[in-house]
Amino acid sequence: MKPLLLLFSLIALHLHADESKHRLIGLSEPSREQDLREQVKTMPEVDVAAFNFDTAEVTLRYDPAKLMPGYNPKKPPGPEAITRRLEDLLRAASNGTFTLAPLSALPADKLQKIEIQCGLLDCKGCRFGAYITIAKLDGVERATINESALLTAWIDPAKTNREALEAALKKGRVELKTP
Amino acid sequence: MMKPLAIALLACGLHAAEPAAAFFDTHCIDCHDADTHKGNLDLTALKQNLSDAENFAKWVKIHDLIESGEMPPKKKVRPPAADVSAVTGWLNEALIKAERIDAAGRTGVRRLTRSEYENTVRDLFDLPGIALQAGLPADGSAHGFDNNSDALDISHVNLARYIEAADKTLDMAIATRPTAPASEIVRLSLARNYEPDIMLMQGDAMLLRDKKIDPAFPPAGEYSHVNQGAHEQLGIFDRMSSVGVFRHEDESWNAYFRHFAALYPGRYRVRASFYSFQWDQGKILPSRGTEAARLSVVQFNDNGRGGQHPSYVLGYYDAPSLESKVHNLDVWLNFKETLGFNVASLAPVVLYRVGTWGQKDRTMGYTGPCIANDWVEIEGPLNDVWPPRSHTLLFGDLPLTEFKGSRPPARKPLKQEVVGTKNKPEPEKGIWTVEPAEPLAAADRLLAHFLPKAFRRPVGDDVRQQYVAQVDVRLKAGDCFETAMRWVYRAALCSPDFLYHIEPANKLDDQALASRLSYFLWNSAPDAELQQHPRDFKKQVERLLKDPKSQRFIDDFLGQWLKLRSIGANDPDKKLYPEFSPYLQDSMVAETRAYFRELIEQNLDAGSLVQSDFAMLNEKLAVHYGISGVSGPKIRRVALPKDCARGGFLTQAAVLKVTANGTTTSPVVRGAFVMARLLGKPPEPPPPNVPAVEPDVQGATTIRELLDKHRADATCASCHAKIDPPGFAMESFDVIGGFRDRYRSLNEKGDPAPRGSIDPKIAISFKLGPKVDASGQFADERKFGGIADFKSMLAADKHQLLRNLAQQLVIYATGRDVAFSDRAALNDIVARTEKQGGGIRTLLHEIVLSPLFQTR
Repeated sequence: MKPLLLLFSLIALHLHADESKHRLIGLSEPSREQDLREQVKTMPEVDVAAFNFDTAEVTLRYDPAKLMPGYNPKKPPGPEAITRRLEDLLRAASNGTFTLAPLSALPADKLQKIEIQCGLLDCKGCRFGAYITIAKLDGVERATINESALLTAWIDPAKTNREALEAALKKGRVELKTP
Repeated sequence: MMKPLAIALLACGLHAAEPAAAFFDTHCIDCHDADTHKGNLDLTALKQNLSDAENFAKWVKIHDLIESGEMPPKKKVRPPAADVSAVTGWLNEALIKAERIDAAGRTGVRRLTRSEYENTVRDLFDLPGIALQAGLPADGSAHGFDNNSDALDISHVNLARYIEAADKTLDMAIATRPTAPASEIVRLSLARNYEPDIMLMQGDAMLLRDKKIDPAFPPAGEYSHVNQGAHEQLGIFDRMSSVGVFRHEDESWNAYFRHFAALYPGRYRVRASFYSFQWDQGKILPSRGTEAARLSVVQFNDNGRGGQHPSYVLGYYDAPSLESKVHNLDVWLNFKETLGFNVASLAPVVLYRVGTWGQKDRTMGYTGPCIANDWVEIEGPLNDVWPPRSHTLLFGDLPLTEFKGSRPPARKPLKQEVVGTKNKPEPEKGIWTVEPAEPLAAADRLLAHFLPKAFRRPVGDDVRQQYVAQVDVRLKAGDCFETAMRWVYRAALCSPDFLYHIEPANKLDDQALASRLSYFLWNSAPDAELQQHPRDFKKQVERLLKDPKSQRFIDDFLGQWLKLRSIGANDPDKKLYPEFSPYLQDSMVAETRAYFRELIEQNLDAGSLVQSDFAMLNEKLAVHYGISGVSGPKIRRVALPKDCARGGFLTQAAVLKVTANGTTTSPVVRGAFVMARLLGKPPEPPPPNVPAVEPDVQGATTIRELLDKHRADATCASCHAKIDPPGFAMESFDVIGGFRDRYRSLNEKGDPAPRGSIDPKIAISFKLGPKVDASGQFADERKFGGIADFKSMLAADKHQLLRNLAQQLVIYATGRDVAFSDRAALNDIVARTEKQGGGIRTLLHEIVLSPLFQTR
């Protein structure tokens, strides 16, 4: 009976759904997509309409009447309020490991790619810790880290640079491998 | 012409003074006249007024020295036995006649000690873990025990604290809700605590699943884990992984289960799962044996942040090799209490400081034992009835109803004050209390039930009516029924009827006898069965001893008789005794208690006080004593190897530790302990202005050499000839009760010390100093070669050992010293016990049967 109910609610959601596209902070490595999908499942008002790891973008689908408490169809909430609500729900569901950000204003070819080799980061928590240290810095539009502890960031060169990223990592006690 | 002493004796009007004077003149006066006054005793100047306490004590001493044959000294002409008998008989008669006995009885009016108070409240209200002792002023001590009427004074401070204790008791006892708080089962992981997080991140602990490394959290190696918050956010510590811990708790961290703090004081069921393994740089191997995990109850202060909260040890539990063992415990938790964990049997190591133990890579570079905690589960509060028995004691079967009046009972709203806990109070729906239709009639009925139980005897109508009248006063003042009753219950708990042992003059009545029995063997009030049949002595003593509450007697009596309460009075020097640990200390105390319990259970004779072919050991102590084949933390009876120096109290580590300071041993201190506590011959206090013999802490000069110099002084020699020999024999044991044939020394010139049974993870910096000489000679010139000879000689005098134990127990049981005129009764107890084989259980029975016990 339960799967049937879920199906109906998904259909219902799609019938009345709006969508909202965001840059997603928290995608430290590919396995985080699965984390995201599981956590969104715990948010009955929302589902993932589209996801792109390479651009760190997610499109969330929702029924505004269910998403927004006290929803008034005659006076629908604006996009900022919707984003704030989605952000709150996602933060709570993911224990703060995913946050929404505005889509990057710069085209991809204008972003500068920086690679920083960290010391051994052999657990997901450590890698996430190193990743999040720079992912939230102003000017960092996207970042990832792989199992070899190679941290890759795409930055707006007008706002930040390699030295700033390395300084932030060192402050977070992440050891860097010097060439 | 009549000699001076004879004149003096006759002057005091004592019959038979003439032959006694002749005895003194012939055998004593040469050494104890005005000119010589050996031992500072001038018999010619000694006043004969036996009503003077000081004189009385001196004449008792003279009596004892003559009776024991110590005087006249051996080198002098021995008096005929008949003369000795005549003079001691005369002195005995004179002293008994002169001894001032209070017409009402020898035991003065005495209040409950702190522990008696706490146990009485616990048993009365069925609140078996309420903690009250710590809030009461410390008791004094007289004649070796704190329950002695000479020591139990009372002050306004006591009274103020009794009021606080009564309030605390009533707060806990009175039900404030119509139904019991729901019992919850909370399973806790050590990983989900902020201090273990630090341990896990840095490398002093690791996460495990199914006895393997948890792949989600590889142990720290060359690099420690970074960003604890990120791990917490990802839920890595929330997966109920087992936690393997290498490091002991210390000043900088404590492994508390912080996600739980009891809100509702009460009974809880605790389950805890442990195992152990040998860690070898990334590999999990079978452990060296069963390790010991410690659980403690931790009382959070304030909001619970930080470490070093007050705690007490719940116990030490098996952590078998690579096999989880679940331990089930029934515990009482008070408000804001949780559990703490420690790797008790491991040597202290710190892995996060890379290189400390030679390893390069924290956990991944380390090889050594580890104890894992799978989880701890706390279920409760468990209430088999509601309202609880504590409430029913106070309010009977009056129903709890919602309060609608104007002045409700004052209560502190319940809230979870400890930061980080998951359990929260249930919402309080309304104010619930008892409101009988006829309050005064109900008060009368409730007090008629409560007061005899609290006062441990029938209570007259007149007394009860005084309390009822106070209820009436409070009700008229506008208090609700609960508040008015609380007022009088508090008054009752602070009244002399509750706080004092009330005993009639001379022969004890049934109630006083029941109380004396239960405070002797339970340290608490009598139960209904004892109150009904107090004179069924044999059956009652057996029943009381069989009850778990008799452990209170063992703990309380040994705590004072053998000074076990002082076990933590000093910490052994860490350089000289690096193997010492709290686990060893707790094991020491457990051994001595278990040994005494075994003596009672098996009804062994007094020789066992100093010599036995078994000991009560766990692995920690067995290793400490050099005995193999004992595994795990449980204390059990172990047969001793044939030529083992252990067996009996004198060679138990607890006794050896309480008779030493943290650095050195002194034969004087230990000798005095043996004389006073085991032989019942306490030495004279040291004369004024004689400096104490200070041991050489560098270990270059032995204490024996220093004492030899001290004894060159004739004034010191006579006493030290008696005090030092037991202490010399005990020199074979160091300050933590380890056997030694050479002293440990911090002198760099010493020889390198072999590791022996010291854990390989413990660094050794002490050296070996001079050899130990444990030989000696008793004052009566009998010689012994060491501790084994010495113990055999002591054990041979079972009568003296039994007599002393009888005396100590009588003092403890009756709350007063044994007077000179009590000696005949004491000797009778001993003789009757000896006739039945001399067993210690028999001794307890005989004490209870004796007039000393049954008379005030």
